[in-house]
Amino acid sequence: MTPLRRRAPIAGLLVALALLAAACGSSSNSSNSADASPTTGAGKDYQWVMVTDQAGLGDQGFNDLAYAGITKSAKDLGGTGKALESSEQAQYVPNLQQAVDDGASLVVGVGFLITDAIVEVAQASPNAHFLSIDNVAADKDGTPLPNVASVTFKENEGAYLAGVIAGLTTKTNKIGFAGGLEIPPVVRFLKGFQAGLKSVNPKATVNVAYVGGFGDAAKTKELAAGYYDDGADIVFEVAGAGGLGAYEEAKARGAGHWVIGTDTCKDALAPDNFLTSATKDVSGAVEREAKAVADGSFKGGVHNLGLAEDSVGVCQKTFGSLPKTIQDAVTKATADIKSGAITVPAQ
Amino acid sequence: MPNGPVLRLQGITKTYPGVVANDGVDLEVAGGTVRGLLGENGAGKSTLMKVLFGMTRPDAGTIEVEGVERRFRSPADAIAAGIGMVQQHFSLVPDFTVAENLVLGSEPRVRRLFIDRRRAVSEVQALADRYGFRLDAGARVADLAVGARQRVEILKALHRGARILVLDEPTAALAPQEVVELFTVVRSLQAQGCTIILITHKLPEIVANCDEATVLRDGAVVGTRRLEDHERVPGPERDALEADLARLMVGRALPDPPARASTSGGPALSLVGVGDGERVGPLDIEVRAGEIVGVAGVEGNGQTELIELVLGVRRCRSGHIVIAGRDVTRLPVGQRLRQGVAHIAEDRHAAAVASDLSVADNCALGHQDRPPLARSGGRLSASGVQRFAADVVARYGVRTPSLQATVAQLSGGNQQKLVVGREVARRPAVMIAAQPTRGLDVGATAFVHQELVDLRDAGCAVLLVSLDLSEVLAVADRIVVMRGGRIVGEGRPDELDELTVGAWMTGTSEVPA
Amino acid sequence: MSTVIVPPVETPPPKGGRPPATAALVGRHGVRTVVLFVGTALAALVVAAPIIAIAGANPLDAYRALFEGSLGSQRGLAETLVATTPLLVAGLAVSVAFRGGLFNIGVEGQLVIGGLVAGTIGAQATLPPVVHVVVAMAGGAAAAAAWALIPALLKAYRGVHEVITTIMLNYVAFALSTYLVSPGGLLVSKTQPSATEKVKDTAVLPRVWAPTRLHAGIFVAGALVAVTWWFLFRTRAGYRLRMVGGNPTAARFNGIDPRRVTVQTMCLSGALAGLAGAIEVLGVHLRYFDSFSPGYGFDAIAVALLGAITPVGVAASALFFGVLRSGSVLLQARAGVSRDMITVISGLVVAFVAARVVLERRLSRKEPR
Repeated sequence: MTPLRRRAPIAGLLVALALLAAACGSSSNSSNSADASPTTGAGKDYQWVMVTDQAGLGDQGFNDLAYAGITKSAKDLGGTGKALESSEQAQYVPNLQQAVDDGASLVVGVGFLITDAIVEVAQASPNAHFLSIDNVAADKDGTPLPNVASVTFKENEGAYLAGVIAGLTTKTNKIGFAGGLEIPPVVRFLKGFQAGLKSVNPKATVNVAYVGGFGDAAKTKELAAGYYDDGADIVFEVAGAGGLGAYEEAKARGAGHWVIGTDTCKDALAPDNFLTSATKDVSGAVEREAKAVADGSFKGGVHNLGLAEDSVGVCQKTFGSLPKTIQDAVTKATADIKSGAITVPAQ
Repeated sequence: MPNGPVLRLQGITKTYPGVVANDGVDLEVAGGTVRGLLGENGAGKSTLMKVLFGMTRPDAGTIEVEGVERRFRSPADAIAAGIGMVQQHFSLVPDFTVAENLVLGSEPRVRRLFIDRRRAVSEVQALADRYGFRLDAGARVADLAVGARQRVEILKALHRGARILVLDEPTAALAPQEVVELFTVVRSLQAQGCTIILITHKLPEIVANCDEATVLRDGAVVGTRRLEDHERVPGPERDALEADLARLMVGRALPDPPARASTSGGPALSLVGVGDGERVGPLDIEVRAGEIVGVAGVEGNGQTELIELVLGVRRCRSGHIVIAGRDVTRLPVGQRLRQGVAHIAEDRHAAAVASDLSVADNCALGHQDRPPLARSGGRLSASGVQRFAADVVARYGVRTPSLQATVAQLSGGNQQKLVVGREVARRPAVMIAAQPTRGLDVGATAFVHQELVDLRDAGCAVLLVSLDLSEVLAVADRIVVMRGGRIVGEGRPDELDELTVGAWMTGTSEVPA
Repeated sequence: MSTVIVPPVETPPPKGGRPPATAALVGRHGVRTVVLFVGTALAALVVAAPIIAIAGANPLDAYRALFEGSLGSQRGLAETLVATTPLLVAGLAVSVAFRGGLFNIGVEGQLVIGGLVAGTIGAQATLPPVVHVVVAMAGGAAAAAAWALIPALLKAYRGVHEVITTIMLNYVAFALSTYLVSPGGLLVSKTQPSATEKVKDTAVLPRVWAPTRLHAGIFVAGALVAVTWWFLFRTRAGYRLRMVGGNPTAARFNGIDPRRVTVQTMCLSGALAGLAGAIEVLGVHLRYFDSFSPGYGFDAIAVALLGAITPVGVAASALFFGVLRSGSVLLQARAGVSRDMITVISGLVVAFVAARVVLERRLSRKEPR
């Protein structure tokens, strides 16, 4: 998630050329220019607005996930959805403020750098509704703001299930963990994973290292290569867009070199090497809060979503192709966590 | 060669914003003659030649070459029409041989890929011999003296088929012997049917070598005069002719040449065993208060380094430099200047002015730390700068659109006047004047010489370094000659003649003294 | 050939009066500078229009949104000034270096260092109001000046080209600042990744136009324009700086030590760059974010060139870029034009400024000498 910062204005020229080329080449490539084009649904004139971080739409990460939630909300609940992209840190506040001024029904802020801005704008506009993903918007005293739904995830619960799958899959009992930065959500992934792993395979060990950012595919690839060389047969990447590097490395090495992803199913990146993902339903969280706004049940404060809310888990798309024994183990662990029989450590 | 005009310019007019550089200039040059073109800086000579050489297009007027009207869009057109130009600044590749420089762009080839060096050399040598040039076609240009490089430039123009040759200030950087050789070449070219246009400030050269002289002033032709042989020999007729031409150029009579010093005081600048350990020295020079010491020498014989040593921008490895009674050998530039040193730089663009800064800012250079320009608390008085600059500009007749104009907007002569004015305004005890009249016309040259003499008469010690021997002989009270970084001769101008000094300068053996 | 524009006797306009300050303010070719400025800006907007159209929006609507968003409301106006502030101060940093003959491409890195140190002082030190914010800004400026001292010394005493060293030190500055606010880093906040703790209230540049974000930094920037102008044109040190920039050899032959002046110039430029970062951190973000600068230090080069490196020109061109930045919010929200379009227009301005340099050279070549 490290933003594209400090680019020289020369980049503008390149962008100009690229835009020209893109425009001349084909008109089908509209995914990027959809940033502000409203998606219209039936019914009431809701406005579902998200403000991206500096990675913007098309990041294959949080921005895209949140935007999917925005689009679905517009379709299911009516109204329009749109995204305002922020190209710099200083633009978060004006973009959020613009969304409020335009009468947004719900303003969604994405990224771990936007929290201050949400707090600032939310305090100035107490009647507007906000959704902060992954971060708690609190006032100076640490009290969560009443008009901001601060959604955090129990990443550890989803990762626990991924750990179960890993523990029953590994043959070398060596697993590598490639994190982006050592920040709380990443740590929760790690702790949950380790707990799940240990529960089914006490002999398996996890080597932990951090890339130093969420956009560095080359470094992630290097890290993954190191793990595989060291005898690991599974790499768990929590490295954002940079995670791509892990799939590339696994693909190059062929079958038997597994990757576990994060946030969404990433089977498309390396179909033969993708084991599973510890998912995090950002899109669903946006829809959930949008629905709350629509039916008048919106409530601010911290919403900590986990397996019980079906907001975390493992990749369902490929779940069916896992061996039956593993599927059963995962199903059992899921039930145990939901019932409270197992408490997954978060740190 | 028929004596009809090979070149006819009619009604050439060229205006730049705010200036008429050429105002309906008519010029007819007969084939096989040498035409002198005289004029002060700003008279329009260069513009006229740029028009002729296709470097700029006239607003009005026509050019006829050998009876055919031509329109030049670029120098290539002019070259194709048989016009060649040798400019003050040479355009040669130093690392190439003479032959390689000449054939550049039209090289004889072996199998279309490789340059046929041997044929290039023999072709060029044949050309040089045909015109009686003393030149080795296989020599590297970097190894040649200035005079020889100039001959290469001339040869280059001839190689490209020039029948009309324009020489712009050809003697500016030459030693006396080289000047003699240049005019031998000119006469040999003339004998072979070439037409030559000679642009120069130096009246004696015109008088000695031209068939006709045309004088430009303020963009217009103010007179053309045929020169007779009996006027070339020294005597009253020649003096009258020179005075006549000078008056036409300047529009007024020139002052008499400056008088020599009668008395001089104690030493103001002493160099004892001074050297930089590589390019200059060790050498001894003493300049007394109220005395002008001229340093003569061929370019590149340590004069530049000498000046740098005196000023303190070059490290002194041996000896002592004493200025106004104080040993300054180890002092930085600023402190030496405060001892009363002023400096007219030999290359003003390199060392005297900042072209992109304003006239006012450039006038203030070196004066900024003293009242009335300096104010308390490190401030600079803007009004003080303006007043001071206005004073320099007015007193020295610097022609400038305004004090805020950049120095780049001024002509070379006006830039030099600014520098001279600024340095004289220091009221120096020691004046280092290096090439103070380079590129100046007769009027401005006389003015600068008078300034130096006035300084001397006011008790200033003047060290005049010049490549123009006639200048040194005319102004200095005492002459030292430098060669290879050393003093090789010394004397009073009335005891010396040009050839003696020239022999010292070049190191040739025919030393009569 | 030379120009007899004014006969010598009429030349001096002394009258002992005040010099034409406006001339120095607007630059040497006042009118031409203004015309070129407006021309360059307009040309960029005109050329961007078809690109906007190709991207699927109506250029007229887009520009209406751009200017309405940046100038048409209290908040828009305030946001424009907020966006102008860092560009203006960083633009001054670039200009001062240019004036002194140095190409400081390290403004971005110096700005990051300045922001980091100011943010740290703001968060960690305990000082009375006013004093705290002043100390934080001064600390940021001093740290950035020290950062600039490295290329300055290398340039002055070892002849290492400042373009190389300042670019390299940018990456060192980025890496160092990122490291310090990485998880487990020395300065990282407990609650906000990739940032320092919030600065204390005593270190905040106060908001001056409620309810907008406009902060006192704009006044600091305005004062810096005046001070920079005064320094360059009304002090001897400024004169030496300009003279060394104009011709270091001529300066040296006249008793000015170009090496010392070079060091001073680069440090001054660095200090201004550091102030730009400090103001942004203390006025807008209220903590140092690792990514707070989207490249102000690089955009500042375009700002300085468009402003013909005069302080007032820099202020005008920073305002122009500020309009683009703050207008981009409404441009996106209303006209549906991608945020990248602003980058495109900025890029075109840079291209036109570069073209202008070529053009000016041709113009001046046509002038008689």
